[in-house]
Amino acid sequence: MRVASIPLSTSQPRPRPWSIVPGVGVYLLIATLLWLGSGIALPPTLTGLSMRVQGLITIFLSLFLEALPFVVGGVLLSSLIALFVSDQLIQRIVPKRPLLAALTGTLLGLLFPVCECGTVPTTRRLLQKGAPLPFGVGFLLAAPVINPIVIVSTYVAFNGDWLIVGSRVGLTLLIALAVAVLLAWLPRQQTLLATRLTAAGPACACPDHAPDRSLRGVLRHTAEELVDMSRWLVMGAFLAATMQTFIPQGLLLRIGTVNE
Amino acid sequence: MPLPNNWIAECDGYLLMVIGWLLLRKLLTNQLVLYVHPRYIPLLTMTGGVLIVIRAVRATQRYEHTPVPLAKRMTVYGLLLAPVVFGLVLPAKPIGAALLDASNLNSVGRSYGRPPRVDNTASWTLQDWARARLTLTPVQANGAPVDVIGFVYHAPTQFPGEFSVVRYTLACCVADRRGSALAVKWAPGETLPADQWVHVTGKMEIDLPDGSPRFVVTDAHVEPVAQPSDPYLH
Repeated sequence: MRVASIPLSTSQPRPRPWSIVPGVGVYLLIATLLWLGSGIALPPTLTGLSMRVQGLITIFLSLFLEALPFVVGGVLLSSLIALFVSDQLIQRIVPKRPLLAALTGTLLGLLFPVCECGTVPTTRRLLQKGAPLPFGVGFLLAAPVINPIVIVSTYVAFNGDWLIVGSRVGLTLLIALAVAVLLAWLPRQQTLLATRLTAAGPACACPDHAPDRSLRGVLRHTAEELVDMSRWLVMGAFLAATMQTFIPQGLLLRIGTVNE
Repeated sequence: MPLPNNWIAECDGYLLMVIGWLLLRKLLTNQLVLYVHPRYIPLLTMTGGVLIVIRAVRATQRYEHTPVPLAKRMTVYGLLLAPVVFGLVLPAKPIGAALLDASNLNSVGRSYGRPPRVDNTASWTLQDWARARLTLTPVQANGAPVDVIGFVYHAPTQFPGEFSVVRYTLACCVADRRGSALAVKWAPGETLPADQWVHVTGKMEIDLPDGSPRFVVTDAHVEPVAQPSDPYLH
């Protein structure tokens, strides 16, 4: 079985009247959190909530700040792939057979020192360039865990315990490979990746524009994709911060903890 | 000078510049340690610089063609404004007692770090004491000198005449914090406000209220102090 590359639309749908609702909601939410977090003119009954909102905002900012450098790095890598690696090259060198594509994508993670935040734009770009889905998913799942930096840091953090290092890398490879191969058997892969998530963002898609491979062009590309990607970072960080604020941390930790 | 016609380039550039400025401002005011482990500071400094350079490049593209109407970007801009507004308008505060989960205190788990020296407990942090619970015998702990700094927390299950002194340990950022705490026998402590930073000295006593050992600081001397420049342990 061969896996076809996924055609991604870059057409711009017409805005609908209700499309402003999320935008207005975002600004209202920011204003409400600012009011609660500042504690200004708050009724006494909301004092406890105000303290929690201050904590929520601190956690949100910490997640955003911690991830931002890696998102910038991933977007920069994605921009370099977009401008300097042709679709034809990707489609020629990446295997088409599902198992081989999944294996190659998974093992590619051993070479790229990118974290969770960095793999998303990189994978997105590879898929846009015509890489098959098992290749992208294998890379997406494996790279953050099995890249050289993580292997070395795991070795150091666990006092040179090779069993931990080997288990972490081996199990990740196995899981990434299994998921990537499973997804390869989906009949309609186009529907799996929503167009609005995979489209190239606001970059100019005019066919008569040759790619600008200067530093200026790379940074332009990076800026456009960074703004587009960062919204997911903001939403993810906010969701995680909200859960941490309103669900006891002990409960969340106990879900993934094995009693020793 | 004509008005720019590529508002996307202008808005994207300014937004990224303001985020870069936020990073550098937090760095210059020593506030980054309120959010992340200090090892992230060089990365964040570089990122701040890159974002400002990107703005400079985007400024040169303000008259170029763009296929996207500005109105379609308002939600994205609102989302990206959130960290900027929160980071610049609200005063930076470390996580305190409000988000403390009493059931998760001292759950440091299996530690791969070097254990602290038993003969020098006065230099131990609250994190060291939390780890020592797993290894220290009551004979070793009883009477050991204690000298720690943390914030005040009044646990719902606190014994009368006691309060807890707590400090969070970060591995990467505030989201992965773990609280380490010691109970302090000091009657006036009940009136101390939560989140007040205190310097506690005294002696360790192993209590057995329900059969299981409990670490309590006795003969305590408690002194309110200013919040440390880095309020977390690492």
